[in-house]
This record gives sequence, C-alpha cells and structure tokens, in this order.
Amino acid sequence: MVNKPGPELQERLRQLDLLAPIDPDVSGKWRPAPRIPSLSGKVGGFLGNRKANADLLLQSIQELLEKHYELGDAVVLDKFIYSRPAAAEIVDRLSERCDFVVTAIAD
Amino acid sequence: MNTLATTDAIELMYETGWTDGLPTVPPTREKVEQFIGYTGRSPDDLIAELPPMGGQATVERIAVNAVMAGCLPEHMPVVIAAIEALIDDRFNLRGVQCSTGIHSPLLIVNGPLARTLNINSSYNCFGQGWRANATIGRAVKLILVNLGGALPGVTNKATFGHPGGYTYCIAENEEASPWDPFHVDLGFAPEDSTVTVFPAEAPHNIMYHAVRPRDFLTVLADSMCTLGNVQMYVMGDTFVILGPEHARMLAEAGWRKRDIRQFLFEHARKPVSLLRRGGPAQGDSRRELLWPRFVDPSDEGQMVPVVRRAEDIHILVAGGPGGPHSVYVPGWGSRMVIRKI
Repeated sequence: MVNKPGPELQERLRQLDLLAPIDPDVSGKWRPAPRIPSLSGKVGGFLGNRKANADLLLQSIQELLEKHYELGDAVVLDKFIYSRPAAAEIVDRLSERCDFVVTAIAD
Repeated sequence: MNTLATTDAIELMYETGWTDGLPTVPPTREKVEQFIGYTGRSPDDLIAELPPMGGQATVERIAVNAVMAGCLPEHMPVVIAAIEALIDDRFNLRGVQCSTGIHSPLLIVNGPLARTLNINSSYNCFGQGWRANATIGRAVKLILVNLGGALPGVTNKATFGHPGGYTYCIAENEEASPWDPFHVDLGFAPEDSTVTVFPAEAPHNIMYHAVRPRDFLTVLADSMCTLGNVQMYVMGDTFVILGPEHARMLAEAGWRKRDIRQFLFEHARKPVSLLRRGGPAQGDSRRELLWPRFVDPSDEGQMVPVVRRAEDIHILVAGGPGGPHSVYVPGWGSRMVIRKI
C-alpha cells in the first residue's frame, strides 16, 4: 500500500526510528471523477486502446447506454499506442466535449 | 536497534505491504542518513516522479528503499542512475509497470564500477549468491512498487510476472568478451561506468555444443522468433547475451558483433502466414503497422523479422566460461536506455 501512514503507524515508525519508503502524498493525487446524477442527454466519450476487440466492447457499451439512457451524443476515439497514455490532444478533445468517458483496455 | 526491535521493524514492513515478500533491513534514520551522505546530495533532491501513481522518488526515499533491499551505501549511485534511466520516455515505464505482460526491468552494469562493486558478470550471474546483484536490483524493484505504486494485482496487472521482479541485475563480463564492451559500442569510454535498463522477459537459455558459428547462430535465430514471442508483434529492442564460449567461437571465426546482428536480423524471421495463425496479429491488422515497411502484410510468404532494424538487436557477453550456453532476453516493444553512473 502507498497510502499515507495513519497516526498509529507513524507512532510505531517513530518508536522504532524508521523512515517510510513511500511518498505519503501520492494517494491524495488521485480521486474518482465527480459522479453525474444521470446519463440522459449527456455526451459520452468512448476511448479504445487499439487492441483486438476493444472496439467491439466499447461499441456494445455505447449501444447499451444509448438504449437505456438516451445519450446526447458520443465521441469515439482510439489511443495510438495501447501501452501508453492517451495523447494530450485526445484527452483535451474528450474533456472539452464529453460529460463522461468510458475506456476499454482489451488485451 | 536490539533484536526485538529489529524483528518488530521487519514485521512492520510486512504489515504495511512495503516489502516484496522477503524480509527487509530496517530503514533506520541513522542508516538512511549514511546512504544519503554517500551520494553527496540533498535528501530532498527529486530524482524522478514514478508512474503509475506518481510517487516522488527523492534521494532520501531512494535511500530508504536501498537500505531495505540490503544495499551498501556505495550502491546508491547505481540505483539512482537506474531510476533516472527508467523514466526516459523510450523505456515506457508506465506501460512496463502496469502491463499484463511478463516483463520487468533488467539492469546491466558496465565499466570499472561493476568490478569495484563486485557485480557478478560470470557464473550464475542471473542467479543467487552476489550481494550487489541481489540488492541493487531489489532496491530498484522496491522503489518501483513503493514509490511508483505498481502493486501486483492492483495497478500492476502482470498475468504471471517473473522471478526478476525480485531482482534482475548483472554486469557484462568484459574480461571474457572478445569485443568492445557494450557501453563502448554505444559511444561511452571504457573508463565510464554505465547502467542499462531494459524491459525484459526472463532469460531463455540457448544450448549449442558444437563449434560451427553459422549453425550456432541458426539455433539462436530460431529461438528468437517463436510465434509466442511478443516481439514478433510489437518489435522494439531485444537482447542476446552470449556466453564466453560462444562469443570466443564466433570471434575466432572472424565474426564481429555487427555481423552477428545482421545474421540474426536476417534469420530470426517468421512468415506472415504463420504470424497470422497465432498470437496478437490474428484479427488485428493494426499490429502490422509495427512491422518494418519492407514487409508486405498482404503477402503471406513474406518473412517478418523479430525487430524492425538489425541495430535493435543488442549483443553483449556474460556468464561463466566453460559452458555451451547463451541466453536470449526478449523485450516487449519499447526501448533500452543506457545512462552514465
């Protein structure tokens, strides 16, 4: 675990005069995106990783969401290299246009 | 620290999940300060921000992990240089840390420091028995988990992983090599010390008992281009580590590294038809974009090499003399990085 040590653990480390091998601030860098109350009328992003069947999985999810929630629109994009993060321009396009994003990492 | 406190400290590292599963040396403040002092750097100097979680690897935090791994203070420069090399974009550390693949960073040390630190380059160099190999490699792996946050099963999705996940560090056997050392091939001076990092599978042994260089290289090439080898579909760099006997046989017959590289590039190949039958290329023509341009994917008889260019095959010498063995170390599509220590 890389979470910040709690008070009890910090005290035990202090008693033993030990230093922690982690960055205690790292877990605070990450948090889930804010939840949206409803998908109805929202613009969904669908980001694939270019691996076989990722597109099929995303397409199925998109169809299900459109059927059940009447999405406003959909933006479908692929990363260029599956093992690397999406390029900044892809992230920008998704964040500018979409209310939520679904990503598939087929392997 | 008394025995009871030491035991408590070891158990505490298990409770927190800060160990790789083996007992660790308690990272006491005094010990960590000794390690930092050896580097001559400030404890807060930032060496890297490590993916996937983005933990900041400062000199102090690297020292904590190095103490835990069982390192000596003089190992610190190698550990720090390795971390600096790992965050080079060509290595794609984020991908290596999170992939379902089996790869783990391999460290190869060249130059006089390898001898000073007694990093094993000879018998059993990939195995147990040498403190420097065991602890330098282990320190890097602890850092990648404790600071990078590559937690097995959580953010590190390796289906299997391999034993190199504990430690994976050797030196080149420069004394047994009939050619220039690896780092000299890449433009460094012989008196430079370097560390190379490479996202590597476990080494695959290539046995060849006879004395015909061309036959040996044919055996080696055949072992490099198996249909299950991910490199056939993702290219990138790949490593061939010749045992001293094989290296000497080749050199005595006049083979230079570039000749070996060219032979392997031309012979470690599989036809498009077979690559389509199995592996990731099946049903995904976009993989073919990674193959060299001279391969026509629509021609099933065309031969696909294991790498895009001959120079992507990296050759060095290691292992103990007297055995008819070499190893092939496949990569996973990204690049090796070499850095001066």
